[in-house]
Amino acid sequence: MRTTRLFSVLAAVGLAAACGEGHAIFNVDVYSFIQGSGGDTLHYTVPPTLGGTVQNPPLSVTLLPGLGSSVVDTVQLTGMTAVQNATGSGQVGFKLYFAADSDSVYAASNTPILSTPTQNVGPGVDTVSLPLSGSFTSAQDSLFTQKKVYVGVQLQLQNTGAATVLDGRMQLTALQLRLVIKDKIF
Amino acid sequence: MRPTLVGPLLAVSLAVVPAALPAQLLSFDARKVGLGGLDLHRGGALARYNAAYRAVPSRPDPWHAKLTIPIPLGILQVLKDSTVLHPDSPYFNPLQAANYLLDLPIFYEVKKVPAPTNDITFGIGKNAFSVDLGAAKSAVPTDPFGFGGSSRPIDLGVGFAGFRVSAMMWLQDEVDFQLGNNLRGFLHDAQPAQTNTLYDVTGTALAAAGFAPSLGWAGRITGEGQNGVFVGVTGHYYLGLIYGQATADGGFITGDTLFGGANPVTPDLGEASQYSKFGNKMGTGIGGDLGVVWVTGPLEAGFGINDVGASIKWADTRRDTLYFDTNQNTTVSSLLADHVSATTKLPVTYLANASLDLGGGTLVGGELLHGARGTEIHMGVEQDVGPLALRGGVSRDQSRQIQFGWGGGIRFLFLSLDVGFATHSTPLSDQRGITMATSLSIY
Repeated sequence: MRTTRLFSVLAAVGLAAACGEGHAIFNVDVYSFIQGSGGDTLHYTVPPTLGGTVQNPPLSVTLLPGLGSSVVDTVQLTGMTAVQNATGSGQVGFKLYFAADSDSVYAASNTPILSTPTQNVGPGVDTVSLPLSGSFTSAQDSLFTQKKVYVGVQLQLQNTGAATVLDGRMQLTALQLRLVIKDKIF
Repeated sequence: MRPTLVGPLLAVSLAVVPAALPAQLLSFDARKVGLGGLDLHRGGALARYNAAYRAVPSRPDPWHAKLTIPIPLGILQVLKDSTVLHPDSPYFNPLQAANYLLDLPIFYEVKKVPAPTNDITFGIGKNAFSVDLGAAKSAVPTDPFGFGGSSRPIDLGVGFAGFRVSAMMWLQDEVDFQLGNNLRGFLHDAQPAQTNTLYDVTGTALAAAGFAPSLGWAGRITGEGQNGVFVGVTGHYYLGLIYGQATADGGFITGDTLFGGANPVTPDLGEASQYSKFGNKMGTGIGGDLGVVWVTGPLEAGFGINDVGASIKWADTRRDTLYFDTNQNTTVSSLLADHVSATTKLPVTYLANASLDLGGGTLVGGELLHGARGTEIHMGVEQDVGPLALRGGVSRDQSRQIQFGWGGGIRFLFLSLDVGFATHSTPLSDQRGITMATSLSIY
């Protein structure tokens, strides 16, 4: 939350110095802010033959109110996550959601901003890297002109084993945000 | 209240804004604007800066006005654009509002300096922060910057036999800023921010005002008629009514972690001031103006210098200091000394000018004006065509940019309506804007 507010204010400062039309481009190492906080991991346990999802509670991110008059040009996310499987075998997929309110984050109507193909993990101890890459649609871009946005991480899981619990954790190892805003910060 | 980067950086951005402001016209007289800022006719700046011009006899000059009144068409532009001044307006633009405040546009902006397209790139991480301002980094001053000088808004007096007894009001203001090395490297050179590092701006400001009873003499040394060598000298006894100056260093110190810590930055502020309030014992000092003018036929040249040796001693001043207490999260001020003296100096200003009447209604001239903030050079030509005058000029402003002026006027009985165009620049663009000045003169 603090981070995103700072981003916006700094954009205003930068554009103030520029005094001209152009773009404010933010290359944000999001991972550096959540590394080691616990928010970069998601534990999963799925009984044999079953599927399911695990997700974190939506996190709110406060934006600068003045951004309402700005035009978000591009929002891109890239990163890497490692699925560190401990037991069992199955398939794992990663999804990242954004929404204007917390109830809508995991709503069926909400399209994930970032979604990876499912990957096979296991059996047993295994580590699989999932490259992350996604862009916001123009409709989703408008989220960044609001005062607050909610973020959710979800894993889709399927235990393909007959007897062993699929257990492990997702470890985020990199997450970069590229946000391009046209002027009219104020 | 937890300190953040917001306030300090906004302050820095505002400090940077003046560097981006366009060089502006200094005259309300459209005739002078059309001549590239030149005072071609006796009076105006020539009489202001050269004490000898009072003795130079009048010459037949259909464009030597008694009074010039600007027609402020630029105000209409501001009113039309007034929504940017209202904080509740969706078009509110604090930068534009600040620009209007700092630089009230009296005259009409025919062509604005095009705002360059410029991308700014921020690199942000928990412990990393950098800003690449792109072309806008040229607006970040690497040297000290500011504004100031001295002026004489009122000068009333009576004269007899070449002598003149007068009283003038004088004003002095000096404001300077300089970005600290770390902040300059961060903004200008896109250097990454460092932890536990001071990012600061230092500033000095001085303001003083008073009046000066003056006694002067101006007369002809040699020559007759229109020709001759004329000299003038005026002595001033400066009386200071109010004075204040301050030196401050303000900024912030980054924490152990740039963005993730509980205290991302710690404000850092220190200031020392010295002042004499209105009602204290007045400041006193003496100084003088000198001038000489040489006229021979169509050629005229002059040199005038103002406020020579003008040191003003303020006998009753107070010194204070102020700093930001990070423990109390508030500023703390304290008295250092009271009833102590201080001395200020008015900046010396000089003007060198020359003009030549080529006949046929053609008058050319040039001048060099040196003040506290540098030197300006103006050159221009005026051509009379019956009741019309056509004007053109070129100048080098204090930021060493070449600017151009052109215009004309029409004379009817004791009035003239004049229009002048002048170019101006900003550090952010290699293209010039054009301002149209309009004024009414009474002869």
